[in-house]
Amino acid sequence: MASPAMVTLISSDDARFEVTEAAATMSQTIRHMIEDGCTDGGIPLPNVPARTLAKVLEYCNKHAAATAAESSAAGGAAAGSDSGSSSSADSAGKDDGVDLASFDKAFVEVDTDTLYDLLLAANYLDVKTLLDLCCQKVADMIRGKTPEQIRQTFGIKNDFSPEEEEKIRKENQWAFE
Amino acid sequence: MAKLRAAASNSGDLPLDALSEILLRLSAKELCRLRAVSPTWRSLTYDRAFIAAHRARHREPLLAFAHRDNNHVHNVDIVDLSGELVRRMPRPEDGVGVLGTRLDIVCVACRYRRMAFWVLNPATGAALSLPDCHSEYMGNGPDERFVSPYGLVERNAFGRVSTTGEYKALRITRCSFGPKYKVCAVITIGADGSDHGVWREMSRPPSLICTMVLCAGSPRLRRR
Repeated sequence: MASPAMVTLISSDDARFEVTEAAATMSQTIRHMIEDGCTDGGIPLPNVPARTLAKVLEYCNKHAAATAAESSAAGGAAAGSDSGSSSSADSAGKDDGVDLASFDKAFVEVDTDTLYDLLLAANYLDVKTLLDLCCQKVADMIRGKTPEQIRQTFGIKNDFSPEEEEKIRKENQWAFE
Repeated sequence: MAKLRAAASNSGDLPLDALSEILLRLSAKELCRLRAVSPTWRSLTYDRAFIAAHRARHREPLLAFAHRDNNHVHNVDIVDLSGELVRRMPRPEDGVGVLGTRLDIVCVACRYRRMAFWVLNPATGAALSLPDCHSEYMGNGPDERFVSPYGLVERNAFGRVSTTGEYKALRITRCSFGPKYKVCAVITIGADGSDHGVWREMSRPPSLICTMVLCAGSPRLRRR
């Protein structure tokens, strides 16, 4: 079996990461750069620092590997259906699904700043599933909180004058009950 | 401390599209409360594109009903099917009732001003009053017979024209004056519920109206 195609990614602080093309192209931004042939000497990602890029690539490697395992399991099941091996392939696929869900859950159990960095990187790199994961996590953190708690958690400055804030609260009084 | 502040300003600076992606996942009630977080959050939750995207994502069926609470305040409430409050719109009128809804906007009528209808937009909280007069053909002159108390609304309906996205309200009024005993009028409301036309008189309805169904967005009358 031929070794998988590799690409080099360069973080904003000049750290180099060697990853499989399958993992790298989970990012639509990188996919387009590869398609345009801009890969000589590595792909520069000026908006993503090494610390965040390492984390994003951990996610991409895991998911790309799971996708590859899934498609080979599906292929194996189709080819091996006569020999009765399909049931074992099915259960392997299911385990991967559970595994991936718990990986995702643990992956975003990070402090708020790291989560924001991941979210921004996923947004810039256009990794749809990672962006969804991060947005959902932030949304879960917001749910049930008061405006003060939100400002505190996410470090948002209150730009309202006391009168403005009072007016908004009055207009939306029912939502505070 | 310096680091804390740096981190804080950093996280407050989420790009608008990322913030929008996050807030789209929250319920309408949460979003109304979060309008008090900052001007950015407030303007985003009033943004037309955001409201349309939120509507597309939260497609579950909702109920609209009017009631008076313990403080004698009249409200039109939108609730989901588990009874969870999604939106509350206080109304100044007494005795309001929900006439009909096409989910995006709600049409309400008032028991004590029978010709008066309002169109509410639950997303923005905006309320639009429809004229409580007769059509121009009937006349809106100084003659007091033509003003609202002289029309008793027998039937009304509210629907959406699927081809144009506009809404239409139908009103069948019994008059105790003039050459016509019953008057059937239709008014058009813009797709976002923010503007309206005038009541236009339609051909005379049958004398006995028993049932009314909404069919493909246009009201049709059935005669038994």
